[in-house]
Parts: sequence; C-alpha cells; structure tokens
Amino acid sequence: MVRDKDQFLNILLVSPSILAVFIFVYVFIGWSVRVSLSKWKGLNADYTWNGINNYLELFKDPRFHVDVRNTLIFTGVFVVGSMVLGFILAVMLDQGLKGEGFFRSLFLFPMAISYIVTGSVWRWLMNPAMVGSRVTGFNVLFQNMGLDFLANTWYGTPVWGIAAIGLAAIWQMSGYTMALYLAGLRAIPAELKEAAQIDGANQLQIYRYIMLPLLSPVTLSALIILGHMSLKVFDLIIAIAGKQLPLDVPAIYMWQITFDGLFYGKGAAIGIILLVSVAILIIPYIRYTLKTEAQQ
Amino acid sequence: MNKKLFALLSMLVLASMLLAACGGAAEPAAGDKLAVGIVLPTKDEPRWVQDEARFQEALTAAGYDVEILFSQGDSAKEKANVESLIANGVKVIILTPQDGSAAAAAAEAAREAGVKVIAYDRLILDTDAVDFYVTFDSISVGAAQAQYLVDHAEGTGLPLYLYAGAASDNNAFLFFEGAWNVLQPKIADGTFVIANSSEAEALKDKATLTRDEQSAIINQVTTNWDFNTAKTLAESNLTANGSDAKGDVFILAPNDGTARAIADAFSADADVTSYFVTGQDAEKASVQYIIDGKQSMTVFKDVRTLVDDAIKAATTFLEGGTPESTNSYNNGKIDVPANPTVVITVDKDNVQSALIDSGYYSASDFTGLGESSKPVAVAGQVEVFSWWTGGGEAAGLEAMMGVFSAQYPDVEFINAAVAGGAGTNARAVLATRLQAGDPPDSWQGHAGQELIGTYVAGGQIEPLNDLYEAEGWLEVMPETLIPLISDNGNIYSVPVNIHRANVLWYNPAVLEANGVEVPTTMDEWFAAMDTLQAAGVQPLALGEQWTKMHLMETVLLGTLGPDAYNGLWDGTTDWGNPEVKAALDNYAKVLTYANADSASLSWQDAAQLVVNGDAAFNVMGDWAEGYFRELGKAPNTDYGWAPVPGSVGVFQFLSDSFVLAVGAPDPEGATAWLKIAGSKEGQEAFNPVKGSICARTDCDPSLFGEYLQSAMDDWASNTVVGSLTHGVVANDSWKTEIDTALGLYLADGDVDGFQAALVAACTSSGPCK
Amino acid sequence: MTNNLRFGKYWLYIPLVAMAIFYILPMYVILITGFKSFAEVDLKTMWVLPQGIAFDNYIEAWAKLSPSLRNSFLMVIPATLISSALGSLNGFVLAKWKFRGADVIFPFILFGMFIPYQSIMIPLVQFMNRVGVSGLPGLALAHIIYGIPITTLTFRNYYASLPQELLEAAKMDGASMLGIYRHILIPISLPSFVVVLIWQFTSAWNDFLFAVILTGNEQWPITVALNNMAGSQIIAWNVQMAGSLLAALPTLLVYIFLGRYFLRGLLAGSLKG
Repeated sequence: MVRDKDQFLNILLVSPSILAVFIFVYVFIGWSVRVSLSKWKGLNADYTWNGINNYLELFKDPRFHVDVRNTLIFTGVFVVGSMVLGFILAVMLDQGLKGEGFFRSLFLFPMAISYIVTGSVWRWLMNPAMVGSRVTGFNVLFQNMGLDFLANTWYGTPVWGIAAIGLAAIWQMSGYTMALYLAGLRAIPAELKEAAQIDGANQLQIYRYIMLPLLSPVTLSALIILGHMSLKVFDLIIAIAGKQLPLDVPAIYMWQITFDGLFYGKGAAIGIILLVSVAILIIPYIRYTLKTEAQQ
Repeated sequence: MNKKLFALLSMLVLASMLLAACGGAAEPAAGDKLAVGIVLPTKDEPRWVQDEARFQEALTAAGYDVEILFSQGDSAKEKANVESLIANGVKVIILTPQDGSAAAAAAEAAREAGVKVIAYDRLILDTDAVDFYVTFDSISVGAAQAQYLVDHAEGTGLPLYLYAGAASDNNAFLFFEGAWNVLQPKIADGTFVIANSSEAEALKDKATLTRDEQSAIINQVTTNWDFNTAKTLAESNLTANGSDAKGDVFILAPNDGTARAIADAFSADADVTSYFVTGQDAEKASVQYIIDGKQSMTVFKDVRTLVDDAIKAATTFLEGGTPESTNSYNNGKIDVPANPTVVITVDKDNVQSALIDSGYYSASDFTGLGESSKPVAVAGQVEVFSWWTGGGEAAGLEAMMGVFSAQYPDVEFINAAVAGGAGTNARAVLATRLQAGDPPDSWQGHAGQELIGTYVAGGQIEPLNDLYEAEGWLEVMPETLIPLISDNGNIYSVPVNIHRANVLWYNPAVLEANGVEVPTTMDEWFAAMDTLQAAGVQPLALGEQWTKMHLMETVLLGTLGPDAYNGLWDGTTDWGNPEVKAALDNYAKVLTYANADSASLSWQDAAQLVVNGDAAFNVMGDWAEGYFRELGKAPNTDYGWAPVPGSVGVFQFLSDSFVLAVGAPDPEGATAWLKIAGSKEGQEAFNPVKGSICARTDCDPSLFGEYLQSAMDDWASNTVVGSLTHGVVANDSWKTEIDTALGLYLADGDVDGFQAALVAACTSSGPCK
Repeated sequence: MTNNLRFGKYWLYIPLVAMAIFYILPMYVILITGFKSFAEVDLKTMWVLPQGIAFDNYIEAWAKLSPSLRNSFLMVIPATLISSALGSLNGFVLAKWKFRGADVIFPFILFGMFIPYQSIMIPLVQFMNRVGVSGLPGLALAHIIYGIPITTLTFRNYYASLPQELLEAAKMDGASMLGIYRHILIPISLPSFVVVLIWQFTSAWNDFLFAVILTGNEQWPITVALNNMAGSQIIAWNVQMAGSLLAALPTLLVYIFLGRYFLRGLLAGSLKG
C-alpha cells in the first residue's frame, strides 16, 4: 500500500482544497443556517433567535407551495427530457453516419452560451399568443406548416407553463447528455454487441437490454449534474419570463425575498431547504459510487 | 444658453409671423430682406464681441437677416455705419452710441428713413429720434459698486479713489450718480477720505449733485473707458499721493476693463497694503481677477437678458407694436421709454453660483475656481452606484457626469452602474456591498419609502438638510416632494427627476375608428373597452407581473381617489374596507380586458402593441414616451395620453434620487456629486435626455418635448401622490409581500383572498397594527 | 427498426436534420436580430430576415464589450487552469493514494458543487473584503474554489478507473508518489483535462452572479458588460443580440477546437463510477 513518507505528503497536497472548501462551502453554509434561524429583516444584521419559525412559515406559505410544485415539474421535464433526448441523439450518432462530427458539435454548442442570452431568445420563440395578428415564435411556424394543433401557450400555460422553461433548458443541456452517452456507448466493447446480434437480438433489444444497463453509471452522473442544475435554476426563468409567480421557483423566491424584500432570515431558510433537497439527491449517489468501487 | 434662446426666439418669431398674417398689415419679418441692423461701439472690448456673437446667433436662428457693424470708438464711423444700414433697408436699428450726443445725428437720419432706433445699453442724447432704450439701470450699478465699498469699510479715514467713465457717455454720469448717493454720507462722516479728486472733496457735503458738478468731478477722474488712460491716471494719482493716502485703500472703478488696469497699478505700489476695487460687466478676465483676489467685485449685468430684451423690442417694432416700458430716461430732449433690468453684485463668494451655475460662463474658462467657491479644494474620487446603464438614462447620466467633471475636474467620477434587468439586479449588489461594509459614496434609489424604509431604517445614509439649506433647494423643489423624501424632519436624498406613473396611453386612430372617446372615469373606461372588445380590438395591452402591479396601483388610485389612496400607505385607510374591495373588483374587471399572453410581454412589448395599433390602451409610466419616440412615433398621432381614468388632476409620481452614504469613502466627492445632481444645470442636462421632468421647478420648459411639457404643467398644478411599484409609498418588505399576494391572486383569481393577503401584508410590514 | 445497420441507417438523417433545425432555430434568431435596426425589432417579425446586412450593431456592441473582454480572459484563464490542476491532484490522491478518511473527504468536497450560490453571496463578499482579495483576483479565486468539487470529481473518477497495477509496477521500480503522478498519470490525463477545462471555462466565462458582486466597474468581465448594455427601461434587442453573439464567441471557439477531445475525455472514463 502507501508508503509512510508519502502518507503525509498526500494529505498536504489536498489540504489547501479541503481548507478552501471548508471555508467557502461549510462555513458559509453554517452562516446561512444561523441566519435562517434568526429574525433578520431589513438591511442590518439581526441574529435574534427565531427557532425554526422561518421554516414553518415557508411550509405554510402558498407561494412556496407553488415553488415546490414548479421545481418538481421542471426537474421532471428537464432531467428526463435531457436524458431521453441525449440518449436518442447518442444512439443515432453512434451509427457511424457521415457528418457525425458536425451534428455532435451542433448539439453541444448551446451549452457554450449563457442562460441569460438564450433565455431572451426563448422568450420570443415561446411567445404564448395563439391567435390573431400577434402570433409569433414557434406558434407562427406551426401555423405555417399546418401543424396548428402543436401551437400552445407555452410558458403562459397555467400550472404547466414551467415545463416550457424546461424545454429551453433541454435545448441547452441535452447536448451534454448526448456527449456523455455517446462516450459511454463507444466504451462498450463491440464484441458484446456482436454477441447479442448473433443471439438474434434486434437493435432495439440490444440497446434496451445490453447497452442501457451498461450505461447506468453514465445515467447516474447525468442525473446528478442535471438534477442539481434544475434545483438551482434561476437566470433562465428570469430571462424568459421575468419574475412572475406562476413560474416561481425557490431560487427566485430566495433572491426576491432576500434582496428585494430584505427578509434575510426567510431567504436563508429557502437556501437551506434547497441544500437539503440536493443532499437527499446526492448522498445516495455518492454512497453508491463508493460502494461499487469497494466491490471492484 | 443658445439652445434656449433659440427656442424662445423661434416661438417669438412664430408668434409674430402669426400676428402679422392675421393683421395683414405689417410685412412679414423673416425673409431675405435685412430686418435688423446693429451698431456696436468697439471690437476692442470683449463685452461687445460677445454681444455680437449673441445677436448674430439669436437673430439668424430666428430667421432674420442681421448686419452688425462696429464704430471702433469713432463717432463719424458710427454715423457712416448707420447710414449704410439705412441704405441696406433695415427696419430697426439697435445702436450703442460711442458718444451719446454725437449719435443724435445718426438717430435722426434713421428716423427720417422711417427706421426705428433702439438705444442699446447707452442712451442717445439730445434728440427725440430714440424710440426705446434697452438698458440696465445704471444708477443701481453705481449704487451696487459703492455699497460694496461701504460694506467692507472698517474704521475711519480710509483713502477712497474715485474713477469714472467717459464724460461723453451719459451712463458714466448715471453710474457716478448712483455711487455718489451711497458714498457721500460715508465721506461726509469721515469713513472715507477722497484721495484723488479735489472737485469731489469740495462737494463732499452735497448729497445731490447737479449735472455740472458731476461733470466737474468726472472730468477730473475720467478713464475715458480706456485701459491705458485708467492705468496712467491711477499711476499718476499714486505718484502724487504720499503714504498717508495709501495702506488699505478703496477704489471706485467704473467697469471691469478700467478696474483691472487700476488694480494693476495699485498692486504694484509698495505702500498699498490692500485694496478693494469695484467693476462691472463680469468680463471673463475680471472674473479670473476676482477668483485670484486681484479685483474685489463686479456688477453682473446678464447681457443675455439685455440681448433678449433688445431683440424683443426690435421684433415688437417689426410687428408694428410698441415695447412695454416701466421706466423712462431723460436724454436732454425727451423721456425715452425703457424697461431696465436688475443687476447682481458678484464677488469671490458667489462667483460660482452667479456666473457658472447660471450657465453664463463655463467653469473651464477659469482656473482656481474650486478654491474660490469652496473653502477646500475638492479632489479625490466619487463612486456613484446606479442602475442607469442603457438607453436614455445612461446618456442622461453621462450628460450629468459631464457637468460634474467640468465643475470638479479634480474629482474622478467612478460610474458603478449595474443593470437592473434579468433579475440579478443592482439592488442585490448594493445590499450585498452594504452588508459587507463596503458602500459606494452615493447611490441611486427611488425617492420615498424605498429609501426611508430601507436605508434610513438601516442607518446607511446621511441627512442632507445642510446641503439643502446651502444650495437653496428648498425653494426650488416642490413642497409636496420634500415630506416624501424626509423622515423625522431630515431630508435624505437629492431627487434628480420626476416620472409619472398614472398615464393611460392610447392609440388615437384605434379609438377614433371605433368611435371611442378618451375615458376619464372608470365606468367610461369599462364602456370604452366593451365597445372595443365587441369590435374585435384588443382593449388593453398588459405585460409581465410588475406591470400588473403598476396597473393595480393606478386602478386603486382611480377608484379610491387621492385621499383614500394615500390613506392606504399611512394606515388611515383600512385595507379591509368595502371601498378597497370595490377597487380590487375594478382591477379584476380591468384585467379581463387584457391580452391573454400578458405574462410573456415586457412593458416594451405591451406598449408597442398600442403604437402599432394592435391594442387600444396601455397603462405605463411616462418613460414609455421616450420609447415611443425612439421607435419614431409621433405624439398625438401615433399615441395619445391621459391620466388613468378616475385619476384626472392627480399626479402619481416616482423619482430617482441620490443619497450620501454613511461612511462614504470620499464624503467630499459625494457631496460635490449631490450638488450637481440637485443643480439646475445638472438636471437640465439629465432630464431631456432621460425623458423625464426635473425635480426642480425652475427648469426651462423649452428644453423638453410636447409630452414632458404637459407633464411639467401637471406636476405644478395637480395633487401629487406616490407610486407603489416604484418605491414611493411602501417600504421594500411591504412591497415584496404585496407582490407575492398579487402573484397568488393572478394565479387563483380570488379577490377576497387577495384582499385578506393585502390586509396581512400591511400588518406585517406596513403601518397597520 | 431493422437488424441491418447498413441499409437502414440513412433514414436516420431525417430525425437528425429535424433535430439540427431545432438546435439552430434560436441561434438563427439571435443572428438575424443582431443585423436589424432598432425600429425593425418587433416580436411579430422575429423570423423575417433583416432589411440589410449592416454591422452597426456589432460595432456598437463591440465598442461596449471590448474593454471587458480582456478582464474576462484575465480571470477565466487562471481560474480554469488552477482549478483543473487542483482537481487533478485531489483526484489522484483521493483515488490512488488514499489516506485514512479519504473516502469521507471526497463527498465532503463533492458536496460543495451543490450549494445555491445566491445564499452565500453575503459571507463571500465579507470574507473577500476581510482577507483583502478583491477585483479580478477575488473573482478568479471564487471560481477556482467553487470549481474544485467538479474538477476533483472528474479526475477522481478517471483515475479510479485506471488499473491499480499501473501504479504498483512503478512503485516496485521505486518511484515516489509525485513521480508517479507526474510521469504516469499526467501524460494520460489529457482527455480529462479537456473535459474539465471546457466545463470550467464555460462556467466561469458565463458567470454573472459572482462577477457582479466581486468586481468593480473597471474590472467587470464580459457578462456584466453585456448585461449593462440593457437599460432598466429600454432594451435595444438588436444590439443586445449582437453583443450576446460576440460574448459567446470565445466559448464557441473553445468548443470547436476542443470539442473532439471533449468526447474522448468523457469516453476516457470520467464517467465510470
């Protein structure tokens, strides 16, 4: 195993990172937790103990209920959509077509642009006007193509409007999942595929029963990365739809209640709730990763 | 100044042309024909060169042909000039005689040719051929000079040196008369001892002098309005006098040119320890002398006003009228009608406000100005935080920064503007910096509760009462505004502009096509929107959530009226009462007329629907007007405006203002910035560009467009109430709670629930208990 | 579906091209809007080509953005390189040279990836002020530190996938820990470096939140300048879109030049758990 003289050196090498992460993540989180348990409202810090009242108020707050619902819908649409689309694109590109490189770059590049930029365009594309002279964006394209049934009110739709934002997020991130899956597919030994074909499996069956299970680590990585993005989504929604309650999510509520309304205590509480939700998502992943490694 | 004058003159000319057309008698004034001739005394004095430029520019801009000639101190040349102008067919001559009596012949020649003669700044003597006299009151000029000497005289036996203008100039007599009136009692009581005129010494007990007595003194001390004469005379006076007539001396010098010459002579004399010397005309060189402490004062006769008056008189004559007169001056033959202008005493203490701030000179014309207007030179830097990053607001800020750097060239201006858009807004950055103890020197905030409830409550900004006192802002800011930016009697911000929130924008063509009148009450509005809806027209254009709050506040105002509306914010109107319910019902009804896709539209998109004819009405603050104009739309054809129905006669305002940070890294720089932000010059630079009206009431309306002029009128005459959405009436926490309640209401449509939430918000963060 | 890949695969161009159009549409709108005049910009005519090709908007946007372009590079390049280097070291130690507790330290670091940045803005600014790091160095520092979790994750997963025998053999030959890292791991880490570089470059370049609170106006990177092109009241979309495109160019170039390695990097095992 590890030699003694390096036992110290390896700790030394990672300690700056550990220290930095300790301060910039955990100390700051600790500060947020403390604020979330205070009555702080207004510009000046006020650490008067408030117990868990901020949290209780949030759980009763109808706006926060909307936020949770929107986050669930958004996460569902965005994560599932990006993974499915990314997988399909990866499978198509895996067929060794001419021009693969072109398509791959094309699908990847939305990722290079910031949400603030793409948000403004999606705002136009998904304009909710459906009839009359003001139909524009996708709706007018659908109309011209005779696909009127596809026209809809996009992010103006009650309750499900947030799903439309998810669509824009899929556009942005599905290239990344495509790349992940494509890399995963390329890593699977060709013999496996050939063996299955000899056994009489069709293409669909090969992907369903052989490739997909082998890709489960990829799926898990993608899930984590997309999942935490969706919980923190903020600037994309603002850029598309501004601050409006039907499309509210915890990150926006936190921003608004902290910096517009100066309810620092409550804002910190929302931050902590977000963090805990992320933790619930990620801790099983980390445990799984470590466990599978241990088994190897 | 030229722009203003230009606008004023254009209006005058338009008016006069209109009159001429109506009367049908007078000839049109404008045209190719030479209308006005001007004869000025000499090119050697800067004063007349400046006047030449002013006349030339103003009259040319107004569409008159003008010819300006100089006599170069020669009465014969003057007469030749007048004759050549008559030959060229002028209708009016504006003449500043070199020699008052000698000019009589020229004036009579003009009279014979049917040309009106206006004596400009100097009277033409001994003739009845003078039609009007444009002048400053020369007697008061002399009096102001003398008063300055008297005010600075301490003790007795102070040497007094008298100097006068040319004995051939009637003004010289008037100046001297005014001065004598003030000085004589102080000479008689021994405060002053006349050091250079035996004639004056002999007459020192005589309060009122005859023309001959004046003449005797003036002839003894005349400078002939000439530098060299003045200097030679002063030097010979000093040579003649012993040291007992020196030391701390007082000098009556008739004008700036002679004052500088005399000052040079006196400062060169070793026995003169200090001197006070007067002047007049506020020539640039003398202003620099004053700043440098070499000349004590000058009497500022704002020649811009004099030029205006001369042109006014000329155009009145051209129209066939007679200029208004309040006064007359005897020229030895007749009483010449006149309407004299008041004069201002300028010394080191007020040179900044009188000459620079008024725009007469630019600060860059002088050196050392900072020290003269302020005890300490302001240097360093000032970081000003705002959300003015784009469009007219950024351009306006830059214009104001220009004014700032002209006056405070040693202060570096750091423009820390962060865009408010895209949610990651400026206020969060500001709040974070304040939390971290790293404030900018000054920042922008909406006047009203946004500042009071947040920064005053947080102890982050300084009261500015002293600054208001020193700058005289209480007199020029509207009375209704001051309480809104004050807390416990302390004023906390300097408002730069005023916007109006309760404006109903409409498309005149759409209304006309559907036979709809502009509504003034809620019921009329509903009826109008019913008609429009029935005709298949989108009645109301609406945008994202904040524009709905904006609409809500105007409907609350329109339904409740200003008193009950104000009561909502000070706790005297119960949010739960049936009137508020009725207002919310009205709001609910208004929303039914709005476009279904409102959530996806920015305010710009919504406003654009109206000017494009896709919708009839839109409620938005008057920054929309700037946007319409940027789109190339014309007022009253592409868009019209009215107060939101039910709020006629009420001005719902918001205002951007700047504050002084507690713990500002550079408080002096910050104060300097606030002075500019509150100054007439600063606001006149900013607002026409930004598309808002000045917070000050003394801005020049001609700088603004049609809509803004109407807003200025309304601002001056209407009942003023504050805006909710834009930070005037509710603090930030309260506003955020109202916003949340509104958002929930827009999703569920439950008016009662909405009202209950508003009641709760008022209890939680407002004044309701 | 068909068993025969050779004959069947050409119809795949139909969905691929359809998808390509879907991906291109927003870019198309950005591009054409950037060429329109202010008065031409109207929601209704968003699909319509501009009346003429004029580069005015791009010139105007360039004038406003160019000073901050330098700031962005000054901040992004060190932030990307340093956090990648740190991630590589951490990944090496945590995967191949573990100490007691290393399996606790890894999730401890990884968790940092997930904090909502909005909620730590205030302590972040306070901390930076207290330690006296401000402006671009401060911003770069924030990106380095908040980049450590993902870079560590990527490298650790890659190194973990390497066979232990590789190291054992070297150890037998008497190589030290650093020697092994330098001579064995670094040379085969390029694909992972590319993945991490791309990721870090993109996120630091596109970041707005940290930039706006940690830097002053002389040091604002391009995202803040881009954001500032819009006023609070009137937005000139044509210039805005032109600016957006300019601001996105460097990241696009990074994708174009490093894109082929990106896939290889992902392939090289950064995802094998």
